[in-house]
Amino acid sequence: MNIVNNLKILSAIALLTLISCKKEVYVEEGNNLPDWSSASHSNSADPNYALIFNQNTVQRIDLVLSEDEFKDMSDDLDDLLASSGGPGGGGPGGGGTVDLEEDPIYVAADFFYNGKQWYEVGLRYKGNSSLSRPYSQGIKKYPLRLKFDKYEDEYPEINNQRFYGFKDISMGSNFNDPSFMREKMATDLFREFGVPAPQTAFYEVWVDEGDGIPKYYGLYTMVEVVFDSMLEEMFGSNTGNCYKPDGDGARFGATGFSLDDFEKKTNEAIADWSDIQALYDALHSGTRTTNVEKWKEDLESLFDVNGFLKYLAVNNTIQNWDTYGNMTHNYYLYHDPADDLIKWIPWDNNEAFNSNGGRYNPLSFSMSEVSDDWPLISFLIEIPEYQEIYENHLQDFIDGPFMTEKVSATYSSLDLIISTSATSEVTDYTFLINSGSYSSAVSQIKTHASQRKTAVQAYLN
Amino acid sequence: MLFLPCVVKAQSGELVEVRDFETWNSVGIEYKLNKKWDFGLQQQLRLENNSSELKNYFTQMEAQYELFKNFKLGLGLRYINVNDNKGAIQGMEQYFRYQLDASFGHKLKRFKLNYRLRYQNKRELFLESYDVPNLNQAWRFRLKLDYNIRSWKIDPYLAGELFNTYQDGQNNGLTDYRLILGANYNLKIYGKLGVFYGIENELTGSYPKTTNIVRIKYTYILKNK
Repeated sequence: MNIVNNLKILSAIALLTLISCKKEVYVEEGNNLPDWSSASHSNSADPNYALIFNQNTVQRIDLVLSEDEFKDMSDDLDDLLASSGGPGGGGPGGGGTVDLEEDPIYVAADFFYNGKQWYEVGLRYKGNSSLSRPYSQGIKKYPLRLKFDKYEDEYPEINNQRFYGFKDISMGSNFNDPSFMREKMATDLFREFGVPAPQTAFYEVWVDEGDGIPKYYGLYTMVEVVFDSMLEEMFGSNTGNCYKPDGDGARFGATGFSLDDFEKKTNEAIADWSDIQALYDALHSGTRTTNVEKWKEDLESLFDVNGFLKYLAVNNTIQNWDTYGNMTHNYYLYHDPADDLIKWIPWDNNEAFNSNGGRYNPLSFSMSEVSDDWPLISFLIEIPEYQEIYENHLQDFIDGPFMTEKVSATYSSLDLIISTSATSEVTDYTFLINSGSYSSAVSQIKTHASQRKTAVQAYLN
Repeated sequence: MLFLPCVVKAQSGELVEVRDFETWNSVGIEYKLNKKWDFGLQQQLRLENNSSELKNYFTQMEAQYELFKNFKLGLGLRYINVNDNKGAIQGMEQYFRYQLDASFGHKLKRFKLNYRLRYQNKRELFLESYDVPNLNQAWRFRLKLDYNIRSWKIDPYLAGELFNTYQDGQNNGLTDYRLILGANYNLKIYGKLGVFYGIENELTGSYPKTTNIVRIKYTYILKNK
């Protein structure tokens, strides 16, 4: 009897073990997803720049949320802005900033483009002042961030989902830009002049907030995400350290410098910030005053000084105030394995081409007003050789990519492409004040180009 | 030998875990200060992946106060070491969790019914300044049915619990439920020994996971004389 009972118990344990033990199932990418294809959805496809960053038209994307998902996003935004001291912030021209304590939440949205669906795409609001200012004004045209494989753990059939090769996409709302052209023109000019910068393209964004009716959220600028595809496209690799500095440390100043302010966007698993520390040490080395040639040599062995001077030439010409020199963010650094140099990548340029109305003044050409709190400018520009290189870049820029006739023609061309989408924006989803705001802004940005050429010439003479 | 049937044939491509077997092993001490107050301290070790790999271990302090007859309020503080073995960044991570409980119990002949509402809040510690705080909040509701077998030291129970979770970037709302069949064995002056078998099912995602759990818990009980 005991043997029988023991066998029963052992059998029960064996059965329980069998039905309890670990089980895995094989799930193919795109399983049961009718629109999934290798070219459009798979990680194996190369980024399709010609299609997604089409320069000749305004394309359209649709985002579909459930009522609950939209409510979650909205409630979270309410909470975040309340906990960050409330929406708004001061400053002329609406440049006030609110640094959110954390990023808004993601929700899983369905995404449609050219009749195809992308599934459970991570969608969240993004930005600081471009988020808080519209919120305070009751305008719901917020910048958006899309992550196509965000929910792959919950939905393994979308593992490594891509949007024609792109994993992440940033949708700029063209906040504070009635011309809609600043972000696009700035990044295009940087790239044309040899400064690494992301690709951009215009998109109409339509959102179904759960009621089945798509709302026109307005004309957005799609911006390539630096650490997704851009590194490989611009540098031929993404294996180097890519950082998104934010906070006091991003100044590289003698006070407040902290490696904690250099968020890694690649190689996150490797806790090594030695390249940033080395750059800081070289920048603040005593040789700057005792042996300037040695200081330059050491700095140039770590940092793409010429690239940075090029960036300054473009940035100062287009009067992009919302970045280094005024603000402790809006740039990336990439430690390029090809030449072992850290390179400067500008980011978020919607406040460019604006001689007044910003929260801060754009930097002057001489940058003499920039204090040693921003040593990458103040230390470099006081070296005569660097100043000469910088001034040569200014001249080359206005003689090349920023030639007035060329830039004016580009503005006219963009006007033809976007004017219908821009002027079709609707109340509560637009930054345009009246029906003439757009055309007036286009005229102003054209005038700005010729004024800045004259200003460069005046400075150089 | 016990888990030989659990060996799964390796396949190429993306494998998704839909079931696992975990064991939770706990030792603790309880101190009953008076009729109103109870305190507890426990150390628990959890194993996953067919109980072959460390999932986490934690230390938990608890206090319970009987506000009025059969109605208790509780507070628990838990310091957790989690073995993160997924993704690009792996290693031990530290979390802090607190929980607030309100429970009500009543007897029906030999049965004892207990309802418990729990709010828990878990946050990762020691993050870099730019890291997104990994905040997990949940409301849990548990219904437990104990049965007192006359003249026997073992008292079996059944319990069911719903998890309503909120976590950034995850499926939120009603995300999990747990069913438990367990028993407590009174060791008299040596304390008590509890064993349960539980099934926890995810309710979200396209391939929800089922976790089978065996927990063994020894508690030494101190009484205020």
